[in-house]
Amino acid sequence: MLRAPLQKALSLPNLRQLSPALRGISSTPVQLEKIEVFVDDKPVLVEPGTTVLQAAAMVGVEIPRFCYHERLAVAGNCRMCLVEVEKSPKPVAACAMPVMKGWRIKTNSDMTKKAREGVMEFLLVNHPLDCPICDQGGECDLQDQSMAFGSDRSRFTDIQFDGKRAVEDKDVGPLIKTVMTRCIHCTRCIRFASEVAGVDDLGTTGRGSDMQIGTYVEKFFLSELSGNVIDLCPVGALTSKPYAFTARPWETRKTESVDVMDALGSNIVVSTRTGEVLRILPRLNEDVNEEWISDKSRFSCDGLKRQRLVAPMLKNENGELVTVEWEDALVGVGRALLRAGEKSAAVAGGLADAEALVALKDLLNRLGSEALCTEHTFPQDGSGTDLRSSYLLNNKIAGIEDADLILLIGTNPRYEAPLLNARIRKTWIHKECDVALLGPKVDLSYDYEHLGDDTTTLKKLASGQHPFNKKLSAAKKPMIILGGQQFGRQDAAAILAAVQQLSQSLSSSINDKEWKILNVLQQVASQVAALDIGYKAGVSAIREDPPQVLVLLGADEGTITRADLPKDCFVVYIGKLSVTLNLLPGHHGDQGASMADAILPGATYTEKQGTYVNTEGRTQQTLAAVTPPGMARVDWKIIRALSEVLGESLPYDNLNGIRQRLTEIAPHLTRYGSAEDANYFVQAVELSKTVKAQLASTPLDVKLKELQDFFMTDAISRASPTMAKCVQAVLKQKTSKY
Amino acid sequence: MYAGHAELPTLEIQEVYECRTPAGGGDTACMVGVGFTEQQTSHQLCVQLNMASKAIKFAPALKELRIHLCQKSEASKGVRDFIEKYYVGIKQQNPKFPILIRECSGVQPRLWARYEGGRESSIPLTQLKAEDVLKNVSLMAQNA
Repeated sequence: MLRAPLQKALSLPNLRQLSPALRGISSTPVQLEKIEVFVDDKPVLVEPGTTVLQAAAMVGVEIPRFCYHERLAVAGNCRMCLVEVEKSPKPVAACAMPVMKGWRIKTNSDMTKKAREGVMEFLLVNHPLDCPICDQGGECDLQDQSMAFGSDRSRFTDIQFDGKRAVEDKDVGPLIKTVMTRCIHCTRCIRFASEVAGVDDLGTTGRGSDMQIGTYVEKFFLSELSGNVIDLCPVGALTSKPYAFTARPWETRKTESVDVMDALGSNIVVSTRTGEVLRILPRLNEDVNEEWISDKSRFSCDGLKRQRLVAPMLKNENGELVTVEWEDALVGVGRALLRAGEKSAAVAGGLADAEALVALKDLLNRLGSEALCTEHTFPQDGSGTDLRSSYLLNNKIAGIEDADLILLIGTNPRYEAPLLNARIRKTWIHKECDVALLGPKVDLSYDYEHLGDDTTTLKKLASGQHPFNKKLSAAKKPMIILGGQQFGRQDAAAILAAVQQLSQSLSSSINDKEWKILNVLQQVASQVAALDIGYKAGVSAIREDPPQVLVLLGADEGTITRADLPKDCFVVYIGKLSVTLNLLPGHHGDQGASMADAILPGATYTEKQGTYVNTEGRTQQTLAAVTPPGMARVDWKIIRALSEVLGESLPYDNLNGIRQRLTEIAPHLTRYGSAEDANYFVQAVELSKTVKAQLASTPLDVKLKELQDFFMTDAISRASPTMAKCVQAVLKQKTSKY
Repeated sequence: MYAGHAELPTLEIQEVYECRTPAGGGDTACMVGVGFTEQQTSHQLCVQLNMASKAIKFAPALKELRIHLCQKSEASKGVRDFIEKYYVGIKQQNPKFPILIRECSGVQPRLWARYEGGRESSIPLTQLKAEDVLKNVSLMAQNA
């Protein structure tokens, strides 16, 4: 691995920028005098240790580069960034060279241009003339830079016909297609794998023209973040396998949206053509996902097209679901709802948007029902969901970078929220941050202190009798992250109370009053919005008081089955995928009969403008990239239409109208992009003392332990063939001797 | 006792309190803490309200309370004080009753109440003191 230049970089004062994947070397903030340098005769004051490339970027001069990437360690091996420095006999590599006082950097001189042309020529001598059949075409750094900085004529004449350098392609799994002859050895993928993903599988073998990037032995590159190397690769060596030969970038329309595969709400760009989602790429948001997304966010989009519900359906007298017109479906559902009145209930699934949640709640409230539940639970004892701080990742995702001690309780962030884990890993590598885990032992991609998975440990921690308490109270900025999955346990209230009390006991010794210790990592995209709106967490209310009509708003997890409901209960499913039809009967052996009596086909997150609130409480919205298929409609509009049939018309009929209603329910729901702070931890703790529940002796467990558990977790990813292939690949890798 | 106020006053809430005659020692009055006279000192008032807060019972027709406030603004200060002083007591008296406290920077502090059948009403809490916020909460709670 190319670490030598990095070692050199360590001697530089600006370690924050340059420190590679070596732990424990953190910079002390020493205020040094700024030095003046000149980039193309423009003066700029920079801190000592700034590289030539960074100094140039400050005055708006972009130096071409292949291997340099802001979020990865500096490698300095592509040489594309060579620039002339006055009085220096040789050009310098701008990405790795720190500036010296008074340097005059010339990014447009003859020497610089000649150096770039030379580098470009060497790269192209061994690069295949593939562009017409290369998937990177149109978004290729090599293409662009050879146009901008390359020579206008070629000296490559293969008169001997001995061909260009040829490299065998590697099979690194079902997501990444490799064409290794196109590789220019920038090593970005290697650095990403070892620094960000924490999977040290990629490396180089050989020297000179024999150098190869690969896994050395035949092995898949399997990580929850592996797809990001496709974006990082400046050429077409690593491209997306599912997207191969699908479209050119100039043919697609790009829609900025938000991911719903986990509770982080990563920012994405949805590429579409002819009404079809082709691929999903990350969008920069420093506060949430930086510029990465997880493989589930990126590749599960093919699940949006499969097993879709495209027409409304009603059960006929034979008990078979038959396709009907919207009018009939709405009248049928409306009749059942009118009959049930206050004996109606609803369960909201993990992918529901805030608009649909609000419309459904308004409708059922008007009918007199209060039984609006979410599939995922949260204890209603104590302050319940009154205080947002009880169920948010209060310190925010970016706040992790300031933490010096992170205690994870009952969570495996690596697979529950891969980008949150990437943040923790980033902090662990670059700062003095220790991590401890209370829960089953899992591979988090960094070292941590394992406190076991026993609930008695939690009890001891809460009462301050555990040895780890010393470390916690010594920490200046501790963070406790509680996994939302633990709320599914019987003793959820006791767990939350213990964690709240532990956090509160630590807060007195924290100097920074804005620092929040208690953080909850939610499991699904809709949960925070649902709790904000006032849904009851968990379906216990429905179990206790079985309704006559149950509306499932994309609730696919099978938390409520036919067995929980009266025989004549009318079940309405509003959603996108037919997973309910396929899975639920099997769940309780009720073969042939399906859970739903009526199906109202809804829209997925790529088909509607919907509001989602992520686990840190940040409100974001998806934008409609394509139209819903067939007769499917946007969820909240279905409910609005239903209300009219019932004669209880909801007082909004366009997006602005319902967003106004969102603001009435909770004003932060329309503050797009911002995460509102939540407070009143003291009150939550005081009320938590009234919680009677005791910690159970069952050890803390998490559902997603290993990579194969990660890929298929919700209705969309379960319908995705790519995700299925990923699971297969992981299982196959397990049988391999490597 | 509030039967005359079908629609809640939205802006002149202060005046409503001033024109209201002290109730004759009825239970309701004690509970909602409006049976005070002008002679009482603010301290006494505070004590009485503090006790009163523990006795606020919500009418069955009241389904949900929502309190919107800003985390920092001067206008929301009374609401913040109210949450710190009275929220715990009210919640203990009414466990599992949703009092959704929703913070959002820069918003006008406002109390929303949802009654039976999805009927809602709201009242601004701008610049009110914690005690006045409590009075508004009791008023909304009883006004079902």
